[in-house]
Amino acid sequence: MTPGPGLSLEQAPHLSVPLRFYLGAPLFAAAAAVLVAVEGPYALSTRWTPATLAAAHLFALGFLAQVMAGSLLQLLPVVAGAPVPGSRGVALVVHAGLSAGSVLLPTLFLTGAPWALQGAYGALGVAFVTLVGACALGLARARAALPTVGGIALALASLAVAATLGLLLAPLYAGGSSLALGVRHLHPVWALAGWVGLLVVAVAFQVVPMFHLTPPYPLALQRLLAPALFLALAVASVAEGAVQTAAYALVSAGFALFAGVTARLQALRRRRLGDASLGLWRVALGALVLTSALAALKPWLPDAWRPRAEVFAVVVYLVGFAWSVVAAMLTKIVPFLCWFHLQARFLGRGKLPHLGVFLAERDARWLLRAHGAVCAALPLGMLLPALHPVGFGLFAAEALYLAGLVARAGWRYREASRRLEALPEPSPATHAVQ
Amino acid sequence: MAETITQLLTRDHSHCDDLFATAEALGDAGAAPAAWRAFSAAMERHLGAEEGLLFPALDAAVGGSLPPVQVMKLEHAQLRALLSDLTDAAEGGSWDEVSGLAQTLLVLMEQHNLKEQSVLYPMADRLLGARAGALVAELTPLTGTPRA
Repeated sequence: MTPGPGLSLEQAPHLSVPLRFYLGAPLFAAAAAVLVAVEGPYALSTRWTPATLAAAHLFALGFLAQVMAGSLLQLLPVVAGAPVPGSRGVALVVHAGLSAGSVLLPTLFLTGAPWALQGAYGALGVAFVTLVGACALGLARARAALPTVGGIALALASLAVAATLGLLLAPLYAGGSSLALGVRHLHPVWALAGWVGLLVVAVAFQVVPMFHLTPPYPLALQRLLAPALFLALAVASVAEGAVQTAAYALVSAGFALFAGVTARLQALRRRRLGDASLGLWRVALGALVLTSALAALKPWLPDAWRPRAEVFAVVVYLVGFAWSVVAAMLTKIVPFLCWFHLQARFLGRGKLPHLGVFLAERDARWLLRAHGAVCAALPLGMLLPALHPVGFGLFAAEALYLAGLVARAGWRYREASRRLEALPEPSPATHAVQ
Repeated sequence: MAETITQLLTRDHSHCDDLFATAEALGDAGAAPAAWRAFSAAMERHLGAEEGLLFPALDAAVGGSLPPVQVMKLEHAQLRALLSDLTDAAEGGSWDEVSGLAQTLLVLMEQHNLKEQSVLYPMADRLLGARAGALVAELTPLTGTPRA
């Protein structure tokens, strides 16, 4: 192959890089759901129970951070127009570190063991420093001046703030003390609204128009929303009193605005056919509006309601919003990556399978239906404790189903590779590209 | 103000997207094969215009073979392979096959368009400078979208 046409393939890392992350991530989400189901309704009474903290970190690190890492390592070389040096090695280190850390940190919350603290420090430290370093390198070289690139950088900066606060707070759970005790409420704010929220906003600017042929987001929103949200979070973190309340209200309003604009663009989409990923996006946007409303109402809630309302808002945000967005993306991205790598290796050599062969739309629709059931069952479980294990059990089953879909796509990729490898090499005339 | 290369070719992408959406929305109706052929023809005009005019102008401007142009050419070959599979399937294949190929083509086409719109076209406007206007005039009749 000549160096020119090979470029595109060389820029994209090996298929195993993103798939490794996408396959493991739903297993951590399932583990988080099982933990909350087994712990019972007590786990949702306040965010400070060990099982609640363990489940939240299993989900945030094991599921969300894994998917993000896999996607960034896939995306950055392509966006940057140059391969991240040693992307396969970077992926291995980040994957191993995140996986180990996603087990060790929850172990710390459940047991208080000092070795779990030291292990989590080491594993997550290596994973995050490697990931943020590799991404910073890629982002700095990014050739495309897209607002998405700036938004991803702000999301990563928020992750760095959240991770630093987490690092300072973790000794509390191994019987130690923490310098950051006074600002511990800021850790989930920067992790959830900063890191997860800004990342979804930044990525949505590209993928929402792309997958459903919607009009583009207004340019002013693309340029200003992520920096404005980041700034409001920063002000809320250092201000007090009315200024702080106003800054948090701006954050809520910003995310509600994003949800409203996205829903409007999707309603105006040129692609009339709906699909499971569109349904998952709609669930996500509804959950985002609900979380924003709960956050905005928080100062006016009676004190006795607050602990439960906080946990409810986090469950709606993580399961209703973040999970739905990730599932919507994975049902599109996993089959595309399988196809992309297959055609890069075998274009012109035989008939290539299309996306539906790797992940059929009817299977994606089952995922959407399962998620609809989960989103109905979880709030019911907060009202009727008997239903608590049903909702979280169902969520664990849904997560395993997603892992199964990713595994099957990878399996079908291998099957198709074997079939195409057995075919004769194409003659240079049919394979040549101008 | 005269139109830039970025504006003209972005508009043509959008025109092709419209034809794609029209054809896909027809499902397995009798008019679908003709709609897919119309989409495919518009795509071929667009790809041909880039390969015949834009890419050579870019290569000439740098006096060699520009790497992003090489990548775009490779993606054009991928798009053509899918377009041919898709129009064939629309003639007699199952809806599952057509819809699967359409989805594949859509994702490839959109990420290709994104790269062109955010990297290649702005680069062309910059690199070609004064010559960009003349190229726009040559490209315009080859695209499917009279200026609104």
